[in-house]
Amino acid sequence: MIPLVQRFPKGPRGSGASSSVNSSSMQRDVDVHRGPLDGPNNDDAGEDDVTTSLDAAHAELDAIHKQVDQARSLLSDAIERLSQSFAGLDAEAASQKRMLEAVLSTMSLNEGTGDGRQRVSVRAFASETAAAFRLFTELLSNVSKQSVRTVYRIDDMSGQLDQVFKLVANINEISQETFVLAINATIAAAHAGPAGRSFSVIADNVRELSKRTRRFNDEIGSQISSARTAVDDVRKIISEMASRDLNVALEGKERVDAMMGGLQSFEQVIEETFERTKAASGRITDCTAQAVMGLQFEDILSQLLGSMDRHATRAGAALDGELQPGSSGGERTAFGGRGPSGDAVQQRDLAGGDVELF
Amino acid sequence: MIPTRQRIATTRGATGVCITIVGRFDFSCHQDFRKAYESIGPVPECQVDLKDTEYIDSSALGMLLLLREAYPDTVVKIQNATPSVKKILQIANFGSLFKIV
Repeated sequence: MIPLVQRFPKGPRGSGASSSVNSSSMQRDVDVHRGPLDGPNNDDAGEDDVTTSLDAAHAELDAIHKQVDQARSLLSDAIERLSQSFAGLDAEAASQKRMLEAVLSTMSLNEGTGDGRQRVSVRAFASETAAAFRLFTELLSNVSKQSVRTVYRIDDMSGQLDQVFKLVANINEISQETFVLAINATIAAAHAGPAGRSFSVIADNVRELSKRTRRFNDEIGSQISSARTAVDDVRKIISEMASRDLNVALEGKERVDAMMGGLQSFEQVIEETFERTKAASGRITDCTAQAVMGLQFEDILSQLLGSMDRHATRAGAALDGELQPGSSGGERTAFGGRGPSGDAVQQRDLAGGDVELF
Repeated sequence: MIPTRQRIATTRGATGVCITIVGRFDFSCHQDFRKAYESIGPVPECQVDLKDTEYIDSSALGMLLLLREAYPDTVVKIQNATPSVKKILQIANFGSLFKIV
């Protein structure tokens, strides 16, 4: 029996691996028992040469063990991170989809909803605006109708006032003639001498009456004149009320129509984009599922690495001549004729697997 | 009063009366329009021809409504309106009261 041989020579592989391995647990010492060498190639080798070769082989095997452990550890870390990342991705995609659905249902074109709320819709807004414009213009034309009708009444009244003016003018004429008559009567009374004195008094009274009539008449005339001025003012005000420019309403309506058209196509674009984004979210979920399914390679790789490890162990044992072929239960040996590639894992691709996600 | 150029003409045809308005159909027409519609009397059909009407304001709508009210049994047809005038008539919902052609 040979005592323990310390390993980890400065071989290119061994040193490369140890530089990237930080875990001391991955380093191990391996007992190597040297036995009689009966291999055909050892016939001419000296004992020292054999020992050196064996040491080198063991060192290589240890490096393999170490690297396999490292690979397992790295693989399991990476897989865990990937799984978490995919789970997060899936959750985010699902929440994005829910949010989009919420926004879409708010923007729904249904005018009334089951829960009694009125949902915002450009189409509903457009028809409301059109109705408001119609109401406004109808109201305006009705106000104009009443105003024109009132102006017609005022015109009639003005005509009647004109008639009154004419009548007042007639009365003025009569009082003027009465006045002249009274003057004539006074002159005639003077010619009659003392006999006409009483006629003269009557004629004076008649002249006074005609003067009073005229004063009253003038007063009536001025009253009617101011009434007429007032009526004309009212007529002017009502005329202005009747005459409203409708181009403002027309232009406003056209602007709103154009705006509504823009909004409607905007709404359509938004709706389509939402649908597409929703579909993309669904695809993200599918892709994530596929990716997680793909992560099953960890199992397969783990098994392969385990198999590699065992092969390496048996190789070491074989070197020391202590391994009996078939001694490790049902396991195949590396030197059993079936070769190291007697696969521990038969699966060559991942498509055959199926996995339950999260 | 300065006499204004005659802008409203009334012609009688076989089926009814046609009122033609030239230029601006606004408040300045109100007396002529009154004379026109009061003179026609109840007829089966009254056409209002806006072929040469370049502008209407709210008082024109009011006058048309007065014509409509004056003869409830008469079919009042508004014809040959320019596109902008037609739009105003549509906004005012005149299509429900008049036959707009």
